[in-house]
Amino acid sequence: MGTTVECLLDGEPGAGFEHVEAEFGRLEALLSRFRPDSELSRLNADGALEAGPELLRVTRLALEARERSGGLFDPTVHDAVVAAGYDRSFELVPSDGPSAAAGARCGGGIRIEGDRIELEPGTRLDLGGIAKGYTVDRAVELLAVHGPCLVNAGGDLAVRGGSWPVGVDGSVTLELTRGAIATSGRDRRRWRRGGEELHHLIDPATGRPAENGLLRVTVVADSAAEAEVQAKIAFLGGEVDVPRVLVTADGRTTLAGGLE
Amino acid sequence: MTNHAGRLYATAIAVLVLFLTWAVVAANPWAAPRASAQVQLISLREQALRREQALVNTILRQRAAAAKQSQQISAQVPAPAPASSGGGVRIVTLPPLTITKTS
Repeated sequence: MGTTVECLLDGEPGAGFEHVEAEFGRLEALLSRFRPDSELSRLNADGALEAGPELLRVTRLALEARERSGGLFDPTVHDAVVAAGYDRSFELVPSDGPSAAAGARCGGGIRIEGDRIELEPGTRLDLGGIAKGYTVDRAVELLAVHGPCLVNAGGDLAVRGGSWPVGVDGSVTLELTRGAIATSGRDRRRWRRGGEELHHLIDPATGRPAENGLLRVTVVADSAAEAEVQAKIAFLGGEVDVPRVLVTADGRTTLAGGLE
Repeated sequence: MTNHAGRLYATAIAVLVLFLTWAVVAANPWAAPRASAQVQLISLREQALRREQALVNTILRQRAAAAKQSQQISAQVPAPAPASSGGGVRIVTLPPLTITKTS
């Protein structure tokens, strides 16, 4: 998933870590858009697929999130992200280059009937906005068997049991006793095309990287998948009702959702 | 001659009676009908399903009781403040064990 996974366990050292590693590998092999043999890539290539339970579950979660957010969170941003230049695993994306293509249409139709997922012609899915959180949720469940624990995949983290002080990049420290935290922003996965700075958070209304005064948003939710969704909605200007930390482009930090 | 014909009839009747007796004995009508192997398997499966049904019913009853108890408890507890509704969270001044950053 192009990130570092950190596991903290209040128990026998190393217990269950191999299961966490295996789960990340398994779910990445199913849900990555950068692996041509993944279930997601086959769905995007063929437009329809008899999907396995994981792809079905994550697609359903993403669709529910799209509905709840009025389309602000949208798993059909695949072509828009690719048009902006994020067309390969991020470490391989050139940091600079000629102008990016115009934004692509978002909001394409997705139909799920039984185990079958069908995409409207011209629609492709990018589950990058939720799959990592989903995997963190699965991993922390596996690790919790061995004691209170925390799993952090590059900033998307979840805890089970215990009390965990978590630093919010450059601002406050939050003590988390249950649930999850995720951060979305334009301060990391970014690149330049034609002198313009671009990033991976697509505004579905324009099909282009979102332009607003925010640098990043950190939210707390019941699960890492939900935290990822809420962080993106908050970054794109949607209304959310969760504890959150917002950092503006000029460096101001605002606490909201009961954290004040 | 008459005696000869009488003996012939008697022999024929004896043979007929013997045949009928053999047929009745071979038909074994007083024994319980023997179930086929397939019917026996279905019967065993039915018994297993009945046992599983009883187990599932027990588990469901236990879960329903636990859920009802949980509902009663949560109805008595006031709703948490928004800060903790998205997960148990509060601002602290402790050194962080890990950090969250843009993923």
